[in-house]
Parts: sequence; structure tokens; C-alpha cells
Amino acid sequence: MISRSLDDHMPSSSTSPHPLQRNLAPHLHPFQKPREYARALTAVKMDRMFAKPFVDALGGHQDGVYCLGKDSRRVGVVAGGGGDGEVIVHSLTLRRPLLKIPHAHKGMVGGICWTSESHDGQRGMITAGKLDGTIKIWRSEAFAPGIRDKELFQGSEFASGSGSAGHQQHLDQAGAIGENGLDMDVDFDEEEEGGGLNLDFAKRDKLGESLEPKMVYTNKNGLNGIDHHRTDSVFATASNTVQIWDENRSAALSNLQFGSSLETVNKVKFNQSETSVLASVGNDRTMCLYDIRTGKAERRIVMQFVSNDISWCPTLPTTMLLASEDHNLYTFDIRNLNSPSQIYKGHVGGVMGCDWSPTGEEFVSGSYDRTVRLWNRESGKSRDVYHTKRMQRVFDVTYTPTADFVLSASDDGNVRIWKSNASKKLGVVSSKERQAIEHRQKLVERYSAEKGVRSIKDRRHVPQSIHNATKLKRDMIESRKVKEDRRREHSRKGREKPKAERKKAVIVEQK
Amino acid sequence: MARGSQPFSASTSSGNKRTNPISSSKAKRRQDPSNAYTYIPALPKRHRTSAAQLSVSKDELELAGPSRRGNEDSDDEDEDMQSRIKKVAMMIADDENTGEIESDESDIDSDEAWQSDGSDEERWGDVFRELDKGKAKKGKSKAKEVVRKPAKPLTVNLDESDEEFVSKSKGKGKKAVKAPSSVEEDEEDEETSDGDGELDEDDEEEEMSEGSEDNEEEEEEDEDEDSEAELPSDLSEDEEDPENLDGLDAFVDSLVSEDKKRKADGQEKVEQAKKRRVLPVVSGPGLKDNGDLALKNNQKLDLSSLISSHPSLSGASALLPSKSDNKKSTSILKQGLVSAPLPTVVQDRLDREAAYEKTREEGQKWAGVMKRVKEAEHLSFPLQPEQRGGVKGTNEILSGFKPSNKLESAVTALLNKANLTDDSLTKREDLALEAQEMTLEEIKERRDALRYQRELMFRAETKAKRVAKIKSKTFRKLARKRAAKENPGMDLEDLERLDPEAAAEEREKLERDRARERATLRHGAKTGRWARDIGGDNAELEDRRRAKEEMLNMKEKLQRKIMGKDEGSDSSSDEDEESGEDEEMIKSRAFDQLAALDAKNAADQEAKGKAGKGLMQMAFMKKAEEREMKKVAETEAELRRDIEMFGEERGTEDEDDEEEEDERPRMLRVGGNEGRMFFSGPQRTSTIQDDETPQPAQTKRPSVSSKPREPTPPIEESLPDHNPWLTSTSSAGPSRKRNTLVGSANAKAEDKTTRSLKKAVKGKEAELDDEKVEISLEANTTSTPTSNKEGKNKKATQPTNGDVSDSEDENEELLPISGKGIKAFQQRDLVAQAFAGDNVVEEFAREKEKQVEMDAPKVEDTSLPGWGTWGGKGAKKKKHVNPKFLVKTAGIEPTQRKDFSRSNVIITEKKDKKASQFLLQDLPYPYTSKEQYERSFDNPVGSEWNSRSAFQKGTLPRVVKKPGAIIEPVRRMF
Repeated sequence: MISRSLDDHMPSSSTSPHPLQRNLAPHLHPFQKPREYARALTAVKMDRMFAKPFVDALGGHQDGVYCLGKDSRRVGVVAGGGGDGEVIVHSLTLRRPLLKIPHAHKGMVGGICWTSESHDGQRGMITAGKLDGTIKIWRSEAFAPGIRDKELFQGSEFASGSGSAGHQQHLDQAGAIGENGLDMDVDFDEEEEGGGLNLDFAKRDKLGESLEPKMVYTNKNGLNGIDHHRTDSVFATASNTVQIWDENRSAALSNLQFGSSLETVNKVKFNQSETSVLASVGNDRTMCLYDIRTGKAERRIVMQFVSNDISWCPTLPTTMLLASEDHNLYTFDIRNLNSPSQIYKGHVGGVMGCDWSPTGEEFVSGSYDRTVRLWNRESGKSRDVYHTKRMQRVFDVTYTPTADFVLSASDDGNVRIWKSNASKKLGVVSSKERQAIEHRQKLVERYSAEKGVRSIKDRRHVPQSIHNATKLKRDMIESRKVKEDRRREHSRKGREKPKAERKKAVIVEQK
Repeated sequence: MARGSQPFSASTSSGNKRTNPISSSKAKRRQDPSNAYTYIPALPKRHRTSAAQLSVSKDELELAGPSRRGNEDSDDEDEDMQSRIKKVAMMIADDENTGEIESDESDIDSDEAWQSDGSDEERWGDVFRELDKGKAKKGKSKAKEVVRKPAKPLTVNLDESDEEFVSKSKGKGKKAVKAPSSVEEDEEDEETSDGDGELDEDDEEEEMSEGSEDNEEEEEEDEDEDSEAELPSDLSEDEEDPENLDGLDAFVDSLVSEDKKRKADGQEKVEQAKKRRVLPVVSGPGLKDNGDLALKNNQKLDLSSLISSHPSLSGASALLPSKSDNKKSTSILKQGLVSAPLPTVVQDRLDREAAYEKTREEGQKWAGVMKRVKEAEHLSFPLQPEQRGGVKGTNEILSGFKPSNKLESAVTALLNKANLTDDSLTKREDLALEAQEMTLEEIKERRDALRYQRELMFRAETKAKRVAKIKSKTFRKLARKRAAKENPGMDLEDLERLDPEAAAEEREKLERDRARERATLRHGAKTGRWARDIGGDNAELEDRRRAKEEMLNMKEKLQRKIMGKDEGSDSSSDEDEESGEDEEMIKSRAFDQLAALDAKNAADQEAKGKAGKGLMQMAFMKKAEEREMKKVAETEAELRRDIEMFGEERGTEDEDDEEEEDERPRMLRVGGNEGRMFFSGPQRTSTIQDDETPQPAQTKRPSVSSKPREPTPPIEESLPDHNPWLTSTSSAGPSRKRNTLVGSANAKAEDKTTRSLKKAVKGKEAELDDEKVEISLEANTTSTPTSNKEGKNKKATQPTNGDVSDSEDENEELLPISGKGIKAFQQRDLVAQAFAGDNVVEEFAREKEKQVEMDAPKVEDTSLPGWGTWGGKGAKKKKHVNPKFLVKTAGIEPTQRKDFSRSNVIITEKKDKKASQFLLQDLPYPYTSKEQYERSFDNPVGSEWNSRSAFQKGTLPRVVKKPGAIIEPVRRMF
């Protein structure tokens, strides 16, 4: 008779570990390195096999989507601004628009941001028109269907941010992406009872059409970008100068410009940690730093090419990221602006948008070459590249506040949801599985320098056009380098010195 | 204006002012450099007459600008003035904020000047912004106004300078549009700040006068606009009386508060709003009452007097700064000639730089956080905890400890009762120290001394420990010697006196030592230092050499004995070996000595011919020597006789060898069987012959060459500098020798011995060997003579030596094995038989050679004969082959091999292709060395090799976050 005592298999106390059922003697487990290598190889193959980054495309726009506005306080809501002045607030969990504002602006929408607080349970969204030069603050319950008790939300600084589940639920029934894991077996009916979600499409459209902005500001010039202060009711817009506005005042608080420069400013972004500092990128190939406390422009750098977007690192407050027209991305430390701290190369078209992951370790960029790339902060090559056949020029990208997903807005009128980690499993993962995944990741990381593993890990299939463009670009750069070398060879010694790549990016730092 | 450049300071000016009698002479005023109004050559009469007017307008401040340039060296003064300016600026700014008083051009300019003050930036940001806006609009109109006015000749002049300026500073065109006065001041300021020194003195002068005139004009305007807003002022009086400035200064101070009050009241008059900012509008509490009076009396207006004048404020006079303080406080009007504002472009730049510096500083504060984030092994989000405040340290907890429950309070009470609290303890310590009546210094000194002592002891102890651990005998010996040298023991005599017993013991010990020394001959007459010193002849040297050799011989013999001990039991010759050996030794030594003496005598005889010197040449020594010689001769004769009688010993020198020969067993192989041997008894053979042909032991088969060993050649005739006995015993173990002895047929065994020998005997011997190889008689069983090979292959040829019958080496090597037991032979023989034909060493050498050849670079000639050349008869063969037909194969030169100098190993130089695919070309990024990278693989991550917790810890990803939770940007926590 076989009899087993449960005591042999259970931990002796609740805190002690489970008894180990195997012998750890090293001589019983020989060839550790070869075995681990083989496992690493398998792991990296599995990683590639499971890499299915595309989640969904959120349609509804009649024109291309040229700007995205993520609500950094809610996980599941994003607004897209179309080329025809339409603004649509999407729910990522439901994967359908929460609200459509068909004629928010005349002409293109320049930028969208969300207010730091809500009033009367109504979340505020601020949109800026690129052509009509108006700024509109919209408030609707439909933006934040989960909020019912306003005292929970009003005026609190990131009451939700830490991921305490109770708060989260109160805050956000529309957008608990990560928690529900985007599994579509969520019972819709139940959810729709939650708040303003129980709208049918017709009703919703009607609501959108009839929605009036709570506040309208007018500006002489068109607005290319807008960003909100982290905590205060202050936001900044980018036209030919950077203007600071208050939500409660009708006129601009101040006008920030560097000297008498009146060139078009493309984007403006507030620093999230050093909250009074903001930076802008302009059409005159400049990046300028401001502080709203002094109300002054502080420093400006002129680069070789125009920067299209800017983003501040959420964990390293002095680090900013520029998406440049020269296909590269640059990180700068604002304490030392005369050269970038890192150059990120990989795109073969101008980089139109960039955004840091909330973890600050990675960022995403979208390019005119119809791809989205993901990068590690520490390495100059992209970690991953996303593309689909139907995705056209990408004009804006953003990370969701949970760092799980990446959103891209493109010319084809869709907002696409991508996983930030292509092979990550969505949904509930058991602890055993999680451990296995982590083990695999560790193995891949450890052996990633080895050729067999690396070649699998780094290989990405890209569209033919991009492949060719990459090759062409490589050739061009190479030939340019050769030419330069030759020139140097035939010039007087020491006359022409090779210039470091990082030094080339910045032409001048203006004080 | 030379006066303007004169340096002056506040203290001198105030001193002047005090001592000066009240006078109204203009000339005197001009001499006084401290007086701001020195630079106003002609103020309109109205000013002087309008006694009640006080216009502390910024125009005047500006006006003061030029003169201020002169006193750049008085910094404190400047600072003081700066603060004053700020005060006024605040006042003005307040006005402007409300937007009730219109600011005109001059105001703006002064504002600019104040704006340069970086510290106020943050507070006044808004103000400045608005001011800037106003400036942009109004500057132009004002400029026009100025131009419209009937300009004086000087103004024209100014215009010229204006143009100059414009041309000088391009890109500042916007600035240049401004009012002339402001531009001028800009220019001036630029000069002062940059230190260009572009403007010469004349220009300055012009500006001064111009400024004054401007002022004049504006004053006129003022007059027109607000004639009723006249205030009691001593401005006009000041023209006559500079001393009243102090009063004015105080008055201005009071006005600040006044102004604020007024603002708070919110009573603004339209007229006031219209006019340009003339600061004091509403009279102060005591001003209206006393002002006129005070001014009439030409007295100084003082704040204290103002306050005291009012009954309600009389008590407040105590709060006022004393007179001496007043003395220090300097007035804007007096010496504070405000510098002109910078051009906005420059000003902006400075502002920006300052602001950027500030931002950078703020950024720098994040450096620690960022470093931690970057270097963190794991980041767990949220990074920052919800609540602020960390874990308290123990000290913090202890200091704030208060008993909360019964037990705690009881314990505290007990502690208090026992005086065990911290306070009481320290108190007690202090008391104890006091009781010792030592000063603090003394205590400290004593403590230091003690500490030093302890330190020394500790060191000595550790050193002793370390020394005690040393095992080296040499060190011990040296240490002993050193110790003896350092503290030599007592003299024997002293010891005798003190302790006779110990002395006797000591003496006995010494005697014994001496006896032993003599017995061992270590310090014999021939070898000692003394002996060496007394005579240095050739003969003696020879003697010494011989003596040495003898000693060596003795040693050998002994060793041989030791080796052949078991054999000795078999041999019938010496049954009582133990005792016999010693005797023998002694005897032989005795003979040695005798011989040596003889030789020495002979030498001495020879030497006597020469006129020698030294101890030995003295008469008594000679006599004694003779006597001794005689004695010795006698003893010798006796000895010889004895020996002859017993017949056991023969000649002195050669007998050793003979004896050896005797002891050695003679052996012959029986029936071709290596295992069986016949040992002949001790043979008597004639002795010292080098070329003696050996007695061939008859063997049945010729193929197996077994020859009796040659008798040992005398040592003198062997290699002079090498004693094979010594080497054979030391380098090669007995087993090898036995092997060789067993079978000369067994080439393998012989190999070994020869090789070992070969190691010991080097140089020319090697050559000798080769020669001998050539004359090898028999090609033996296994060993094929590879003697054709070069020196490189010498080792391979070695084995053949074993067969050579008459080689010296062989003899040498074979000899020591002489004394062995039969059993051992049998054993060895068996082993040899078992491994017969296993030429491991040779095979290995061959294999290695093959490997080396294979790995060596090769050049193959692939050209076909006859192709590309002339053929037929008489055709010459090409000397050089076309290099394209030479196929070169890369390889490694034999000399470059790793195993080149190691004969016992083969190290493969081949590249392992299969393994090479796992090798990296470059070092991955974070690693700095190969070792470091390799070490990263040392600890496997898998669960087979780790405990559960280690596995989990090892596989934890760098970024850990809660699923679905918002990650907020880092918050400022400092």
C-alpha cells in the first residue's frame, strides 16, 4: 500500500517555503551552462513566437488622427484629434468611442490635453485648434463615467496613482485596462450601468454634437501644441510663442518667448516633476526651456533639424527626449544642453511623436516611415518595431499610464493599441507561469550577447520599403563617411578633425 | 567733468556733511563730491522756490546715474543704495500693478535698472512683464515727444551719440527707437558693465549735462501737470544745503510706508493717476503740521522728529534706529546715482542666464534620485511611498521614548531610582574624574600613554605570533644565531663562579661538541679556515681537494650501504655489517688522513726550500712539527703492520672501489629468462682499468644482450664535476635502477633510466652519446636507431644508448643498482615482462612529432613538371616555381607551439570550430573585462541549481509593477 504523508509536501509553517523535492547537489545537475544556453535559445524563440503586439485599432475618425491626448490619471481613456477638427474620446477597454465631438475646431486639431482636476464630477479636456486658433475646455460626464463622488477626485493630487484598487474602481470603470487585461469577456451590460456609458451610438453622437465647450479662448495664431501643468489649473500652448493660460481666466497669463523670436513653436511640454519647467520645440530648429515662475525663456539650443515632439522623462526629471526630423531621437539633460546624452537611431523617416513610458526606462516613437519603435533608454538601437500594412504615417504616439500599452495615431484615421511588450501575455497569469516567464526573460537577457540568441532576438521583419530605405540610408551614411575620410586625408593635418556624432546634433546653445 | 570720476565713499560724504556749516554757497556745494546735485549745473529756479515739492522721481534716480559711475569702488555704498532702490521700486511697482498711475518712459527705464536685480526676479516677475509691455508701447511716443521739443544744442549732440550707439550695437535697433535719454543711459551702463571704456570723458560730460537738462524739461512738465500736488520738500533747500539730505532720506523712507497705507485705503485721486509717478502724495501724520516749519528753519528733516511731533507716536521714537545708524544710512539722492538700465537685449540675456542657472540648480537636486533610479537593480513601481517620512533610527526612537503602559513606567521608575538614566551616569562619571583631582589635560595625557602602551603590547604580541608560525629551518637557525649574537650567554668563568654545576655541564657540552666536530672532520686540520689561512701552496690546495674527494667518497659509500642493506644479509661476506661498516669507515678515513699527511709532508719539504714566512716557519713550530711527524710515522707504521697482519685492508685509495666491486653481486641471466638470474659471488678482479673489456656473461640467445656490468671506474676518472652516484640516487628513484639492472634487453626500462640520467648529465656528454650511437653494435629488439635525426630529436635517440655496451653512461647508471635483493629483481622483472613492448615514451614522442608536422605550415608545390617549360633534351629544370603553383597552408610553427618546451604533453593548436560559434567577438556593453563577463555565468539561474528563493530572486525582472496600476511621475520630496 502506498501511503504518503502530506507533511512531507507542505511547508512546516505558513511563512516557511515549500519543502524542496529535489536534490540540489551540483554533481547531479551537470552541464549547467550548455543546458542554460539551450534553454535561452528556446526562450528567445518562444518570445518571438508569442510576439503579437497589435491589440486593436480604434476607428471613427473621418480624417487622419494627428494628435493624441492621454489622460494621465485614467488608464483607459484617450482622445484623438482629427484632421477635420473632430475630437473623439476613446475607451480602450470597450474599444469604442465614448464621445465624439464632430466640430470641435475648424480645421485641424492642434493638441489635446486633460485638466489636472475635475469639476462637478466632470473631467475636463482641453483642445486647441491648429487653424482657428481657439482653445476649448470641454467638460462632460461622458469623459469619466466612473466618477460619481466628486470629493474623491476633485483637487486631489493623483488620488488614484498608486494603484490602490479601491480608488481605482471608483475612479475608473471605463478604463481599467490592465486589471481586466483587455479580456473581452467583461460583461458589457454590467459595465454600462456604471456611469455615462449606457449610451447607445445615436444618443452618444447627439450628445457629442450638442456638447458646448465650457470655456473658449481665442488666439491670433494657430496652436500647434498644448500641455497641462501637472497639478495647477495652468496650461501652456504653442503658437508662435509659448503662452501660459489659466483655466479660470480668459486671457493668457504670460507670453514666453526667447528674445524676440516669433517662429512657430511645434510642441510644448511641462516637466512632470519639476512642475514649473517647460520646454518647447520650434520650427526654427530650436528647443527652448522656460520656467513659469520667472516667466522667462531660459536657454535655447539650435539643432541641425527640426524637432517634431518633445517628452520629459517621468523618473529622471532632468531628462528630455526630442523626436527629430532627421530620423533620430535625442535625449538631453537640461543641466547640460550642449550635447545630447544619447542618440537613438533606427527610423528611416522623420520622427513625428515620442513618449516616455511611465517607468522612465523605455519610450516609444512614431515616425513618418509608418512604423512605431520602442526603445530602451540605455541603448541607441530600438528594442522593437511595430508596423501593420494599413497603418500610414504615424503622427503621434503615447504610452498608457500603466505602461502596458502603446497608442499610435496615424494618417489612416485610426488610433491603434499595441502592447508595449510584444510577447507579453495579457490577462491573469498564475504565479508559476509568471516565474517561468521571468526565468525565460532572465535567460534571454543573460545570453543575449551570444550570437545564436541575439540573432533571433534582434531579427525583425519590416516592410520592404523600410528595409530598402534602411539599406539606402546605411549606404548613404557610409559613403558620406568615406568622403569625409578622404577629404580629411587630403587636407592639412589637424585641419579637419572628425567630429563626434553627438556634437554634431547641436549647432549652438543660446544663452 | 573730472569731478565725476573722483572716487568717494559714503563715510566721507557723511562726515563732510556733518562738519560742514550750513551754507548756501554754490561753489562750496560743487566742491563737495558727495552731493548728488553737484552734477546738476542749473536747476530751474522754480525748483528752488517751490519749497514744498519733493519729487523723488525715478528721473532723479536716473539722473544720479552718471555720477555713480565714478564711485564703483565703494561697493557697500552701492549695495545700500540698491536696497533703497528696491524699496522705491516696490512702491512704484505696487502703483503700477493697480494700473492707476500711468507710467511714463522714464519710469520704465528705471524699472529696467531695477530689473537687473536678480534676486527679485521671482517676486516681481509679473510686474516686470507688464512693465515690459508698457515699455514697448510707450517708449516710442515719448521719444517723439522729446524730439518735438525745442532741443538744445546739447540735445543735438546727444542725437549724434545716439546714432553712434546704434551703429555700434546692431540688432538692438528696437532699443534705439527709445527715448534719447534712456538710450544714452543704456550706453553708459553698457560701458560700466562691460568695461569697454569706449566713451571718453567728453561724452560723459555731455551726457551729464544732457541728463540734467532732460530732467529739467520733465520737471517743467511736472509743474504744468500737477502744481497742486506739492509737498513739503527740502529738495530745493538741498541745493543750498546738502546736509538736509539726511532728512530727506528719512522722509523717503517714511513715504514707503505712507504709500502702502494709501494703497490699502484704496483712495486714488485721478490727478495723481494722470501725472507721472511722484511718490509722496498724501502727507504723513506729522508732516503737515511740522513740515513747513521745519523747512523754514532750514533744519534737517528727521524721521524721529516727525514721529515725536505727533503725540500718538511719541513712544515709537525708541524704535527708530539711533543717530549713528542714521549716519550710515545713505540716501539715494545723496550718493545713489542709479546706474542706467541695460539695453533689454542684454538685460534679457542676463535674466535668462540667471533663470537657467536656477533651473539647473533645481535639476541638480534631483541628481541623487536619478542616480539611484539609474543604478537600481530592481525598480518597483510605485517608486515613492504614499506617505512621507521614513523609518526612524534607534536614537530617534530612544530620545522620544515615553513610558506608555504600566510595565514601562515601572521600569523607568526603577531605573530612575537606581540612578541609571543617561543623565545620572554622565554626572557620576564627571564626579569621578573630579575626585581624582586631575585636570582634563592630565587625564587625557594619561589615557594617551596607556593607549600607547597597549598598542605596543599588542603589536609585540602579534609579531610573536607571526614569528612562532614560521616553519623555515633556515629562519630558525638564523634567528638563533641572531639571538646568540644579540645577547651572548655568560662567560664560562662567570658561570663557574656563580653556578659551578651549570658550568660543569656547560663545559661537558662544549667538550662533546668539540669531539663531535673532530670526529666528523668537519673542522679538520685540512678543511678549516685556519688551515686554509696558514698555508696557501699548490700542494696544499691539491691536498684539500683530495680531502674533499675522500669525504665525498665516504659519503657515497655510506649511501650505497644504505641502499643495499637487504642485499647485505644475503652476502656471506659481511654478516656483522652494522659494526663492520663503522670500523671500515674509520679505518679508511684514517688512511686518508695518513695519505694526506704524507703528501703534505712532501709538500712541506719542498716548501722548506723557499724562504717562507708565517707561523709555520717559526723555529718552535718546526720542531714541534718534526716531533709530531715522527710520532705520526710511528703510528702509521704500526697501523700498516696491523692491517697487513689482519689482511683485510689494502692500499689506501683504490681499495674502496675494490671493495665495492666485491660487494656487488655478479649476475647472469639463466636460460634467456629475464626473471631468473645467476648471481656470482664476490669476484676478484683487477681493478682500475678504464678500457677493460668486460667479462661477457654467456647468454644463450644473442638477441638478448645481457652483459655483466663493468666494474666501477674510479671516481677520479669519471667526469670531474659530476658524481653520477649522487645524481642517480637523488634524481631517480631506486625502482628505475632496478629496472635497468634487470634487463638490458628491456629497452623500455632502460629508456627511463637513461633519460633520467640524461637529464643529469648534460652538455658535451650528449654529443658523446651521439657518437656512441653511431658505433652501436647491435640493433636491438625494439629500439630502432633514429640516430640520423637532428639534435632536435635527441630525446628520441636516447633509448638506443641503453644497448651500447661500453658507454660510460651506462656504466654509471647501472652501477648503483648493484646492491639489491633478488626479490626486488623478480618483481621488477615481472613488471617489465608484463609491459614488454610498451614503448610508451617513444610512441608518445613519435605521436607528438607527427602532430607537430601536421600542424606546421605547409607549402605544396602543385606545378606539373613539363608544363610551361621547355621540354626535351637539355632542357633545364626551372629553379623557381611560379608562386601561384605553391599552395600554402597556414599552420603553426613548431617553435610557436605551446608545448614546444614541454616534452611530456601535446597541446593541440587546432581551432575548435564547433566551440568557436559560441565565442563572442566583442565584449558586451556593461562588462569591462573578459573575466567579468565570464563570471556573470558562474551562478546559474535555473531552479535545478538554486533554492526556490534564490531562483525567484535571481529571475526577478528589473522593472516590477502592479498590473493595471497607474504609474505616476516622481514627485518632489525635498
